[in-house]
Amino acid sequence: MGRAQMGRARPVSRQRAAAGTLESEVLAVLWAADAPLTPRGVLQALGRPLAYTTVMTILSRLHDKGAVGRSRSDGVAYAYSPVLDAAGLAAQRMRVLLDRGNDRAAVLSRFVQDLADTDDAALAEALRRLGVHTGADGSAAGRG
Amino acid sequence: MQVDVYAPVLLSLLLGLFAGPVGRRLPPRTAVHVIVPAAVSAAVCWLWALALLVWTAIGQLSYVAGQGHWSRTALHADDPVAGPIAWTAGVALAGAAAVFVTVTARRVRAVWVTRRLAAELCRTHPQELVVLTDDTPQAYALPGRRGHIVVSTAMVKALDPGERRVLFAHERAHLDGRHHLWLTAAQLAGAADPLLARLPATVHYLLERWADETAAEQVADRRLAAQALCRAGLATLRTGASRPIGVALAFPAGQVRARVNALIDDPVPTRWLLIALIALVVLLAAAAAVDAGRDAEHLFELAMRAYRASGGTAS
Repeated sequence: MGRAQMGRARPVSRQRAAAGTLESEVLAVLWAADAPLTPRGVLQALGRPLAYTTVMTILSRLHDKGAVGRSRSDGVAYAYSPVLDAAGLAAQRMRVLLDRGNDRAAVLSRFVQDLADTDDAALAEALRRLGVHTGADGSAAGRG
Repeated sequence: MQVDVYAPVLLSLLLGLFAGPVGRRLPPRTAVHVIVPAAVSAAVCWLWALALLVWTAIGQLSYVAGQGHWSRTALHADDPVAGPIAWTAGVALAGAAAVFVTVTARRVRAVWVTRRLAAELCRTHPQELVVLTDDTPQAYALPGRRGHIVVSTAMVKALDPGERRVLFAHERAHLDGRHHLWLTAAQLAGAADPLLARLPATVHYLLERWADETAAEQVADRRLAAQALCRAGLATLRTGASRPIGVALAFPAGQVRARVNALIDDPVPTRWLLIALIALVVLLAAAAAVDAGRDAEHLFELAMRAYRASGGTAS
């Protein structure tokens, strides 16, 4: 893992890199949730053995960065929710970037691409082999 | 020179044919580090060989021979390259230059546009993750000064937390490893050398595999990584998101399936013999190219001597 990260211009210290990782996971959890989450709620949704204080630190850092908003729920703890891209400008520009011109898309590295309908059965079968129960829409049972 | 000048052609041919199979027999990170430099070397040698061929033909034009003070007839007599071949090389060289310039220009514009977008994102999003409200499952890495991972809400919701970890680790691997630079190098080599036309697609696949392997290492669970790929693929297919979004390179279908299978299998070991073989072939081709250059130089020297011996009468 260390070797793959050498020679990049991004966060230098290993600690900051790890913190950045957790930040993305926490933010994603908030996006995936349908309602604001307290730190405990985030901890549960993450499904990872993390310290409560770690989660709180990450959430407040995200709040400082303007990525999440918070409100006091009826409890003592804050409830956090992600800040929506108000004007949708970023989304629009992304779409323009992708739809117009092949080469621009080539600068991005997509997680999955060029899927054919024939891949559906093969991927579903692979999931079964991996021992994961799938719902009709391919979603897992009991996800966070 | 007769043989030497064609060695780069042979290298390009071999690389073009075997890059795929070779790439599958090495760990993806190693494969990229071996194949891309080999491809760039092959492209450079190819252009050099073409240039030599063209030069021996141009040198026989009376105007050029007059300017250069060498004997046209001597050059023609000693020239081991037949006229038609040399002129074909000229056409190929001109073609290669045109394609190269076009691809480079398009690439530069593409990079510039994404850089501007990335810079804007850096301002508005001090965190790594950018989530867009979109019903289409999407996830990609956007290289830039800080680098961002862009994901749609549909993709976020399609994956469970563990699978999302894999996704983020995968995209981060692309950013940390500067994969877009490797791909650009491969594309430029493929643009300059038509025998390497399919190489960029192979390199792209290997870069995805490299990111897959890095992600699997980071989450310490290859099966989870495979699972994440399956889930993302199915989500993309089932929400009818297969609208053509435009890809620059033509991939064979089944790329995702191949990646899933590769993650389910054990990691590929480093085959040092294979690496040594490739390095050897590249070195031989480079040596042959240098040798061809020296032969060409010698050829012109003889022609110049003949010119001087005949007292400066160009013939």
